[in-house]
Amino acid sequence: MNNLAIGTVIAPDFLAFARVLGRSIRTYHPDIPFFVLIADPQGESAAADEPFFRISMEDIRGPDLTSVLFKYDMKQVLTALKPVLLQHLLDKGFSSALHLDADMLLLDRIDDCISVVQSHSLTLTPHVQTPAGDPARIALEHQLLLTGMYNGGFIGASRHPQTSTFLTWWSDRLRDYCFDDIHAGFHFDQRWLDLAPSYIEDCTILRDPGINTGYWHLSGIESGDDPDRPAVNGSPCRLFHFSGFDPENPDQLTRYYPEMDALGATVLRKLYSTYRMQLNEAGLAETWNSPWAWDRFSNGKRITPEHRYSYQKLIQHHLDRSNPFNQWGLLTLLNSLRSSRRALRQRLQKHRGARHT
Amino acid sequence: MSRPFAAVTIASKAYLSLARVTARSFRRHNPDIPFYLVLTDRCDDRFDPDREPFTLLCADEIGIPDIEKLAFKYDQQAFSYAVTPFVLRYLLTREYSGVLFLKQETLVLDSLAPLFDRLPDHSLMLTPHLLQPPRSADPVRCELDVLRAGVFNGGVVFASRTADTLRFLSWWADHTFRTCRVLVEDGFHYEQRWLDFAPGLVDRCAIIRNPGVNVGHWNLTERDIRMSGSRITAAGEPCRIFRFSGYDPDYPNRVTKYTPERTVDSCGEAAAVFSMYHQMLIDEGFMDTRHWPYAYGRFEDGTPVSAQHRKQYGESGEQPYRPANPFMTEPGTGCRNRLNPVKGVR
Repeated sequence: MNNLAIGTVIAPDFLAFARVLGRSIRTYHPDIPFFVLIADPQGESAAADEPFFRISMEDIRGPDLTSVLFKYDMKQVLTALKPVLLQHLLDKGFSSALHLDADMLLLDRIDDCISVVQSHSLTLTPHVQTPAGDPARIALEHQLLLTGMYNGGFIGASRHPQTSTFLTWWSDRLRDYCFDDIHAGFHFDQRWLDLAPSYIEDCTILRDPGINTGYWHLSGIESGDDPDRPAVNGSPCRLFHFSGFDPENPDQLTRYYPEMDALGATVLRKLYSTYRMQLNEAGLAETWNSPWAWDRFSNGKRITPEHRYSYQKLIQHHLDRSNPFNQWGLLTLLNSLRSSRRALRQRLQKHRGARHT
Repeated sequence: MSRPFAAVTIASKAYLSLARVTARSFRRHNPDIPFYLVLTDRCDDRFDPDREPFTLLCADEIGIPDIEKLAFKYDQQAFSYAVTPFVLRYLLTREYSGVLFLKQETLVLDSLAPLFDRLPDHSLMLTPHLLQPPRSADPVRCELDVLRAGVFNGGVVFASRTADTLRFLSWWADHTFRTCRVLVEDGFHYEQRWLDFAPGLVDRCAIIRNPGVNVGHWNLTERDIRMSGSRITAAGEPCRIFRFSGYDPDYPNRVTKYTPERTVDSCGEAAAVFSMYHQMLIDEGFMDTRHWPYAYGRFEDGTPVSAQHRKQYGESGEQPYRPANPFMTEPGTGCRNRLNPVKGVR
């Protein structure tokens, strides 16, 4: 059976985004089923009339997930679940699965792109498709060296032994190293994808800038033949990626680069305001402030980034594998030890410095 | 007139014996394909180009703009890396429809016809450092090293004359002209890291996933080198290109200077390939050529250019005082007096 499913992973605060993407899929590709993995322990929040099929955490829960849910923050968890979602869809019986970030929107049919995904083990989209030499592009390319060549928003996978091996490897790396430490070679899920063309024989790079168009294409964005739809270097945008879109700051192109000017490109302004309207209609106001389910210990105390960091160190040294959500006391103690040790070190350094001057 | 294929390496005089081994081994197995050396140096009558296994081109005669600036900005090794895209572009636009670049420390062990045969269907053909997750004790460390140095190896690059390739080579040349350094924390690794962009930037970029092509210290343990008579295999495939990145004939039992603790003895049957290579370097005059002086190592008046000079010049950016030729020492022409290498020493 040759069939494809689209999927995404969200926390409950992104429900409106997933609805808008789901509706655009229904508009242009009503034949393609759309699945949303909602990272939330509550199972009943998806109503029957949602434009997607819900996958719950129980459906995919693996042995190590408790540990992952504690050691990572929300963004890390969601990105680390991408290979899990893709494998889940392939295991369900689909011959191909396409992961799209929830902040994407279909603007047209993408049949050619679907058939590329279906005929290759793995399909990725690069951030840049044409050489250019202007200062903005050079700065972007320097950034991409640290954040990854291929955008993590679009990953097509088809059933093949190499694909499963790759997804398992990617998932293993993300379980242990889904960090954002770009100078050390980590950028969430994305930097690992640079190895995909090395590891998979049949990995194809889809070079149509109209597929997965984002702020990284800003210098090439122009008005298309259709006044509502921009184009990039002559290719009409058919799948747009509102990467870094911030509903609380809707005039900004992306929160990753606040200095980038979205309003300079009129055609983008129109697209962004339509998107904002669609999000509002899809219940943005009611869903945007939904809490992340895994930010408290079992005793109700809030988990801080320091707690997560201490736990990462703890499991790095294989010291503790028991449920970290019950370990408020231990992790808080470790944090206070760590900070008092730091304070002591600083005092000693100051003291030594004083002696030498 | 357009001829199908050529191969080329790049070296300065001190590494001429390496280039000779690369050229001779290539020609032995591919006698119909011409082989070039681009000398990032001046010949200075140290050798007779007519008696070498390569056709000689000097870096300053292949149309590299501002070559003196490039030669001043980078040290000997980085300069030879930085000219790679210029060299490929020169040979493709002048004469050949397909060119193979091999880094100087290469040994060709078999015919490359199966690879050249594929070239007309592709813009570029690159070899990844890894073909699967390493089986070493610390695979993640190894993958991170590769991610930060570049997933494709810069020592073997096939390029064919397509509009995409020529555009890519100009883009690559711009980047290496600007930043051909190792600053892995900032994403830079000589000319090599820029190749990561290639599959996105050109149509029909092939990734050669053949274990017999471009065997080097980074994948040696994965490739299971076997020798039977004169036939060498890597993971069961004919071993065609073996690379000796970081090999120093003064330490013949070291695989590479990058990991001094790894010994050739511990590499199984690959040890014989290392000792064969060692002997070839000696036969090609390594002990002699290693002492040949580097022309871009001195100002015009003969005083040495220090690493500090190069660093300061590179960091000075496009400032108005930058001279056309930084090697000049006539008053008012060069930059030596403005660069102050003594500064910073306490």
